[in-house]
Amino acid sequence: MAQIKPAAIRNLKRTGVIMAVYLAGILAAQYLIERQGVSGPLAYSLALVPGFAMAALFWSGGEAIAETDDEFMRMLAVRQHLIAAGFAMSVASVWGMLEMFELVEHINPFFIVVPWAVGIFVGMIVNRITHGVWGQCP
Amino acid sequence: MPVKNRLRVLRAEREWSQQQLADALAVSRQSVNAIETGKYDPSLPLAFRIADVFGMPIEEIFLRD
Repeated sequence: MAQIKPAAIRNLKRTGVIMAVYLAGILAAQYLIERQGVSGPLAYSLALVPGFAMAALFWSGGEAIAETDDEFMRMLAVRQHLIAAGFAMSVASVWGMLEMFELVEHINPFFIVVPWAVGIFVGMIVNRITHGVWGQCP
Repeated sequence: MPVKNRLRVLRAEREWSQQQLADALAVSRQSVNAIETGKYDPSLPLAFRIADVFGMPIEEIFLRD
């Protein structure tokens, strides 16, 4: 059985903490801003918590790449992330144009993480086809 | 510039598995396979580590295609 690398374990732990902060932040913001009517600087601070948590998720992905000692696996991970970024930006560009002409519904920009995650999966498939290896799941 | 290598032959001569070579180089088995099949050209530091493991000069392992 394949051994889980220390860098992957660290990334898993980081991701767990970030997702916990994200969930707690979004629940707290929804309750306090939407139900309790909190406003002003406190509302901004509450809304920023889940936003920064998502940003931390991308940082964690980059950190995981930097911590990967195996240069071949690191190269595959970089390819994966480039493909994911390109895929997500392409989706955003196309959707944005359609949205500008009111041909599709408005979607909040933070949903860009969904096509990004799909792009990571697409990157794994591309790696498998071109290099015979899936790479690693971030 | 295309580069070819003699990794598979050298490994076979020593009757090492890809995993054994990977362990000696502190890389994944997939890395060794990718180098052997020419899908990945290693960095200079890794190429020197490979040369050290085989006890040979780097130019006897990696050649111009």
